[in-house]
Amino acid sequence: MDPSTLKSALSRAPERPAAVTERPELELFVFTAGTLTFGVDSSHVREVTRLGPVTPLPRSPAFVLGAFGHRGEVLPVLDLLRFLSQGEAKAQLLRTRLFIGVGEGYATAFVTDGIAGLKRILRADIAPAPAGGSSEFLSGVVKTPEVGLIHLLELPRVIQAARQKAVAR
Amino acid sequence: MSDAVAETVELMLFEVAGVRYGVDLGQVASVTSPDPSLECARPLGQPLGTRRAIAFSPEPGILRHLAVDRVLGVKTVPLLSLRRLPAAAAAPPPTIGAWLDGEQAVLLVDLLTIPPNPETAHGP
Repeated sequence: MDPSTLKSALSRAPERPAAVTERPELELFVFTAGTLTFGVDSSHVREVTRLGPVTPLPRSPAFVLGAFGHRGEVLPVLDLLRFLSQGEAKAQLLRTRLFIGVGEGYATAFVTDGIAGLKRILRADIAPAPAGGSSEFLSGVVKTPEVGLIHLLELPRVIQAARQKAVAR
Repeated sequence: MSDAVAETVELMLFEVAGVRYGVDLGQVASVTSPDPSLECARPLGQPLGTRRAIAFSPEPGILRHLAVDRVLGVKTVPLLSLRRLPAAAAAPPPTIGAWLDGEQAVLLVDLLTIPPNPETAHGP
């Protein structure tokens, strides 16, 4: 073998096998909004809480339900269904639960209709998201025997787009 | 004397369409009856009853009225309880931030940025 070929290959070689750098499993936080079931990488979910007193914001986009104070922080409350143009959440005080998602360093509360909890899936089981609609915010879908079809949501992308839409209006 | 005196601000709290707002008391000229000829724009939405008006002076010699449903009073709050609004919740002016009253975010308003009512404003 030409020594220069070896050196060239070594310069591009990873330090450890790819299987170690990317885990074959993904832990999802699974919730429902309307008739849809969503899953987000659990590392992007800070906590789950109940819907408290939400202050409506004048002239804000329809998907922003308002703001609320949580542990000394003011958080925007987003209706994911409205954001994705898939209907709207049926938020009810005391019964509705929120989850606080984090992406790009920003925390945002999302209204849910139900929380299924944490679920581990194999990355190999993820199928491409159906094209069209809100697919730009989905990284794929996965079918599970327990909860059926889960739409894998790119939460950081959602938070970033929501910020941009709110600021640019 | 202790140096640890908490810095505070006096907020006048009021309500428009069921939402509570706060404004720096220093911007308030008076609380009065609404005068439609002085009324400014309604960036906070339509009041349900318009029983009171907050008078303010955006520049010397000019008085404007912000129509509100009711004035709730004055509250002294620590500066540490004031918050900027996160970008996704950033309402446009005159909303400039929030006072955290427990879990309730009370929106803070800068009266001086409220434009005149285009229907009642007179030309230069």
